[in-house]
Amino acid sequence: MLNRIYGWFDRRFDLEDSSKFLGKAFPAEDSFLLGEVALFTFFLLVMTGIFLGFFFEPSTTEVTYDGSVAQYQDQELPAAFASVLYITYDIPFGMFLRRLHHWAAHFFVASIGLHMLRVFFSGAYRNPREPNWVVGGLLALLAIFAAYTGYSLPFDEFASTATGIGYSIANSIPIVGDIISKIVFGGEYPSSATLPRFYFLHVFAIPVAIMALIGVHMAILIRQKHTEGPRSSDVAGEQTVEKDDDTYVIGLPAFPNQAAVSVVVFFLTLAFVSLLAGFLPVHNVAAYGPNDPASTPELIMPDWFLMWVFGFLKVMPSWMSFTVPFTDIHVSTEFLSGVVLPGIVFGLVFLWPFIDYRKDPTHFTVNPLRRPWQTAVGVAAVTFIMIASIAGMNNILADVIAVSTGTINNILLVATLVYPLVAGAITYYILRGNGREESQERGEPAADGGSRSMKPTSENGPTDGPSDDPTADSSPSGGEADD
Amino acid sequence: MRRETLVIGVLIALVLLPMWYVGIQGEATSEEIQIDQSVSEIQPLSGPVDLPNKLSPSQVGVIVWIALFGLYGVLAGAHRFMNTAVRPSDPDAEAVVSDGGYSGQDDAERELEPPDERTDGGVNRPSWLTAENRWLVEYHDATGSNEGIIVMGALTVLAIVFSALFTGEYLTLARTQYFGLYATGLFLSLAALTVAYYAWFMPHVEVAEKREH
Repeated sequence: MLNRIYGWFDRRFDLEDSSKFLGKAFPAEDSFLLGEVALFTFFLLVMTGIFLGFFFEPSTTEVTYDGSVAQYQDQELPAAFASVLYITYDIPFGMFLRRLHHWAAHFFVASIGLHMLRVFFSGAYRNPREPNWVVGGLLALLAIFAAYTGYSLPFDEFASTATGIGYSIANSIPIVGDIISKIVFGGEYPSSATLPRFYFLHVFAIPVAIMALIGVHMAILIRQKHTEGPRSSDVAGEQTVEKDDDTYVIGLPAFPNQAAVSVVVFFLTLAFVSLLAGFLPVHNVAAYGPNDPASTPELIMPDWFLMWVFGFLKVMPSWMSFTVPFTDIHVSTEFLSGVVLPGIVFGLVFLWPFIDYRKDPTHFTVNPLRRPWQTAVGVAAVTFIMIASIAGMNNILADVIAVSTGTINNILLVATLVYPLVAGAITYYILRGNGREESQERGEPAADGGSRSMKPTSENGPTDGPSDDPTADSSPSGGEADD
Repeated sequence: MRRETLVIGVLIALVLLPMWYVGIQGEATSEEIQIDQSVSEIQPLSGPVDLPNKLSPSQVGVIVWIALFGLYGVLAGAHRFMNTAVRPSDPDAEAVVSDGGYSGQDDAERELEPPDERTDGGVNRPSWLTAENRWLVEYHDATGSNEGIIVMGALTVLAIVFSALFTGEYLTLARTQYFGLYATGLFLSLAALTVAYYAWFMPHVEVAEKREH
């Protein structure tokens, strides 16, 4: 019976010929699984989002609440808020699936971030993978935007106030800010048009764009094939593949071996998100109450992945705002810290493969300890974002160490500017001798100022990748100066 | 750990740990939400563990990163187990490869011991594993031991029990903590079941593939 079904499809879709695709090689590297975590959390987001979409009402129209939460019974509440209460407290799976959706969203953003850090520090973005790095960066941006639009949907006091920060930033853009904020937020925030607009973006426009980009990301990955960690020795087989020959990729066949690994990743991801969803609340709307334009919550903060932007807003000195001479165009600190600085950060992320450019394609990943200046830039960038995130929580920090936020802001501003430079410089200093071969392949002076003469080939070959051995060169494919 | 790794780790930890410390402070818990049981019989807030009922975004950020690192650790452990469990413990032991010979033997030994006469080297394998630009470099057959059957049987029972408990919770009080517990148990059982199947009943295969095709 199965053979007949298979034959029916085979005659129509030429499955036998296409089945060769199932043998494609996937290198068995642990850190390569982070992208799959992101993929599966997106799948979980879509599945739980469909469930939530059955019950959620994207409207600020007042309705009389008749659900089970005692403190809101018989009150007039925005329909969006009331419907989230209904999902959370009156539908058997509701609270669990809503929490799954939230935790999956956080996992999605975090796993994309960690995946990008892995790609960055292992040099997997280099020629010919620059386009996929850019696609990945766009996915990260869309993930953040998806989370931002979803954050505001319950229309509770906490989230709607935090979402208002985004409105202020959009509104601060010189000349076009007013139009942009009206297009995205449906008028002065929060208006009755805001929720339907955000809902459309959150459940359709952004997910479709994410799905399309995931498709492009996977297509490029399949076409270019995966990067591979350095090999410890030649690989025997029908033909022997030399350990430094990256024109071949060694790995598990897509089916059944890699597919089984992916199934394990899928179930473990679901297990972790389920554990969080079962035991830890996310965004307890009943405790926050509905949006109230007349009040301000005690604590205002965006989601953690936007905390660094919030930090810029908090520590940027007001004297940096100015009016463009001979015009009435005002450049506010909100615009500088909320648009310009994040724009520079993301701009550098997108440009990075073209800054650290290699003319020759390379397919092996690299030990970060072998790349002094690239790793130094990465350490500086990571610490910069972290300190800016601390700045976003300046009021909590001020409470913790019992000083005024004004004092804290000055310290944080200096730390944001100085510490990343210091951390980057120290990283470069301790690694400076390790990147000799890498520099020589790029035709650059050796990082330690040493000789530019090439070492014998045997010393340039890769060694075991996972080790911290800085003598482990993992860029064997080069050989010529590329630019 | 090398000195360079340690120094870089310290440089990052000097910022990461204060960030997490500040982030985890968050906000105070609020009063428990009271559910009117005359309207709904379910008890989503009931559970065996007393935990915070409200988390700030900064607290969520700390938790999600720790959980992600935890997930990565478990994934790495499972992945390594899957890739080593079915390999012979002796690195020089025989591994059937696609040229019909065996790796782990020197050339002299290979000549004394001619390969299987079958064109695939005597290995029953799916047709798609090899192609014009792809060939096997390693093939260890599945062990298929009784031990594997027992482990898989136990994990299957566990998965069924957790799914039954999950369904039962849905039909009764719908307590969220129990949903989380049962779902976690179910998915961990299924993950372990897959790992066990891979370890005992799937051949370990590696292929080499030309990139430019």
